[in-house]
Amino acid sequence: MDISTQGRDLQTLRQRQGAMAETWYRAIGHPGYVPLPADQVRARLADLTREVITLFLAESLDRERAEQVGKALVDLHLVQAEALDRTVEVLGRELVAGQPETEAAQQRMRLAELLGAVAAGYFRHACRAILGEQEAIRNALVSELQAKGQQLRQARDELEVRVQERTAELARANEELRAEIAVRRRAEQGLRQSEEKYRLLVESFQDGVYALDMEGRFTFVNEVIVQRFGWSREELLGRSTFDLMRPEDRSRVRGNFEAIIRGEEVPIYELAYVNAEGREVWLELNTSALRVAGEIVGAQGVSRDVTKRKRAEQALQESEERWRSLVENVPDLVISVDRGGQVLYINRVDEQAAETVQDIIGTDLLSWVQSGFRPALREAIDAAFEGRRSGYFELIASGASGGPVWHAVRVGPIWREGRVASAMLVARDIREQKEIQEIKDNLIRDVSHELRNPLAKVRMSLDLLAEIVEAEPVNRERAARIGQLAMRNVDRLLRTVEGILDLSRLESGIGPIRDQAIVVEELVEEAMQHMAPLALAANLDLEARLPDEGLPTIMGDRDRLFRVLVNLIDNAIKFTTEGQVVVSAQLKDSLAEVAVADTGQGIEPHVLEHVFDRFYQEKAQAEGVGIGLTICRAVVQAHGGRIWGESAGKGQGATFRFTLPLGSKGSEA
Amino acid sequence: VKYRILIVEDDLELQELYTMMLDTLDCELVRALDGEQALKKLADPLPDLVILDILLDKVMGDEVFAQMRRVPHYAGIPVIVVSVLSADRCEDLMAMDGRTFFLRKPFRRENLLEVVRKALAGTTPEA
Repeated sequence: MDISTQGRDLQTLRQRQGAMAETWYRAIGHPGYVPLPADQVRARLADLTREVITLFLAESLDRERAEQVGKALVDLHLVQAEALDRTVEVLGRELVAGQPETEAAQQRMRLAELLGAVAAGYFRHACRAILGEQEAIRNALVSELQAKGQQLRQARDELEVRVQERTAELARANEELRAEIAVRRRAEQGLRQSEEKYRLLVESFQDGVYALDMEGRFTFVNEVIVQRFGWSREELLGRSTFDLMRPEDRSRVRGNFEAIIRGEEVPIYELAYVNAEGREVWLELNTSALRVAGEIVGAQGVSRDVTKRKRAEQALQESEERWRSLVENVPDLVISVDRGGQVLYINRVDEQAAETVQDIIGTDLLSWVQSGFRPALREAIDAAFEGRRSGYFELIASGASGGPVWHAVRVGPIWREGRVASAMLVARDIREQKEIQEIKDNLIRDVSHELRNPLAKVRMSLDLLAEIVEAEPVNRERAARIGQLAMRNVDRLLRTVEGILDLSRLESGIGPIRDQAIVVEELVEEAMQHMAPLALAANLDLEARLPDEGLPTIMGDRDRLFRVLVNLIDNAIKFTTEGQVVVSAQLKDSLAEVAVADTGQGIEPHVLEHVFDRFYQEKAQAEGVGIGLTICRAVVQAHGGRIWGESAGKGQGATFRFTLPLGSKGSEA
Repeated sequence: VKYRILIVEDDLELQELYTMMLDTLDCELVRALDGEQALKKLADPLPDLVILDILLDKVMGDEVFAQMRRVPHYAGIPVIVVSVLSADRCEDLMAMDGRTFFLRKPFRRENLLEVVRKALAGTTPEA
């Protein structure tokens, strides 16, 4: 074996050592690993260095002792491993520098051997402490290392022989000298490479490694932490870890830290730090007590950057919150059920309902539906589990407290990993639509009744009249009766048509209100005259009661107010079979108050509440379409007045009153 | 001996018109203004024909009809249903049989007289 080969072996050994260190580094995250504070490390290193020197200078290598030193070196921190390497390097340089050439070669061999032994101990300990289960691998590596040491010893022996030969051959001294320089350079290069390797390892280490003193100040940070926070190592060391947190987290984390330095185990926790740029850095921290000779001197740990994951989690959470709040606020019910129809989720319950969401979850959805609609719902749920979506269908839900409520329902599948996980039901309360539909149906029926009946009578009257007129002699008395009958019905048709026109006006607002001077007495008189024939036909007295002192003039829309009064009188006649209808006007609290009182069937309080509602009719059979009072109210309110009804109840008659401000200009509607 | 015709109609004007239309027939006309009255007046004396409006107060015409057809004593009495509703709508409401006729309002005197004659054919006036 020549000298360059030996140089390569030395280098190979260095590389092997580097590889072992890498294994060790990987295991640093293990909780069994306890680093020491820097000052103690320096003291320990000094001791160990002396030990190494003693070992080195001894005649023969004490292998067992070397292994112990190796173990002790492993017990020190990451930094210490660098320090060790540096120590060994310095040691090697000193030894090589101070010795004669040949002796230097011998020393190098011994150094190499020593390093081998130290490394073996180093590695063995790391394996024992950290990777116990990898015993077999350790043994293989150790024996490989020992074999390598053996090879090196053999190489040394061979070298000795050669060196003796070379010593005799002084003529080749210069050549040897040059060769020696080359070897030395390679050895130095090897040492430098080794150091470089450690640095690279530390730098490429993905997790941060740190140590804190009892106050939480950094006593050690690796390059990862320096990079992560954007402050230099000098800025970080001695600084409190709490300074780097968000203020709201400090007390919680301080609690954790205090537990750790009391020796308690604290589970891995996540925490947001703020880096030099002011950005949040989320870290997963695995911190434990730092012990020296069994005594806690601070904390140490490993931190992993989980910012990306945290952001993804936050985004997910936000999106879920958004979704949830959306679902909880939609007017529709959103319910998911399993195959059996059991409720898994419901977004909300009716405000009036006695049940809570929790009461409904876990119950059979079908039990909340009127029995006649259950088969259709069952079928839609089954279809959803076969992957089909139902169209909208209507059913009556029977809440225990809410009463029967019409819902329009749609059922569809919710897919998870290629199969239907549950069925989702969207149900909309259509009570209002149903009511509107009913009102519409009634209205159409009433309007058609109101048009057809008088028309039929007019038609039949005219037929009869034609016959009478053609006959000889003409029955004049009968013709007159029939003529009046036809006229009454034509009038009634006219009122209905006006009502329908009013209805369309109501749809688009009541329009502009004219501003005219109106004498209330005249208004009342005109209305009385207009309605007198109808009162006569109904065999009712129609009477006006006006104050002797007269009433002030009011400002308003004469036609509209006339129609209001006519409407009230018409209603009074319609609902009175005997007695009288009295129209009165008076000045009261600086307002003109007009009243129409009848002795008719009266109005019950619950009906009185609704008489001004649009399309409201006590009976479907009543004449009219149920908007007269609605229009009256709109007109009176547009004049700045008020309208209301009074009745002592069934059979007690009714009075409708409205007020109008005196002389005021009518407001625009 | 005269035919007795019960006119069930809540509209007084229509009652008057029917009376005028039927005055050429030598009949006794009995009037009922709602369904309840109609059921009372059916009992005594028994009419030979009933002219029945459907949209009535208290008891609707279709209910009067149903009760008439349920009670054997009245079941044979012919009925002329008069309504502003269509024949189809009336058939939905009541089971028209061979003794039931329909007239949609408005109708002429000759229409009414024709149907009355048809309805009374084969019946003899009650004593």
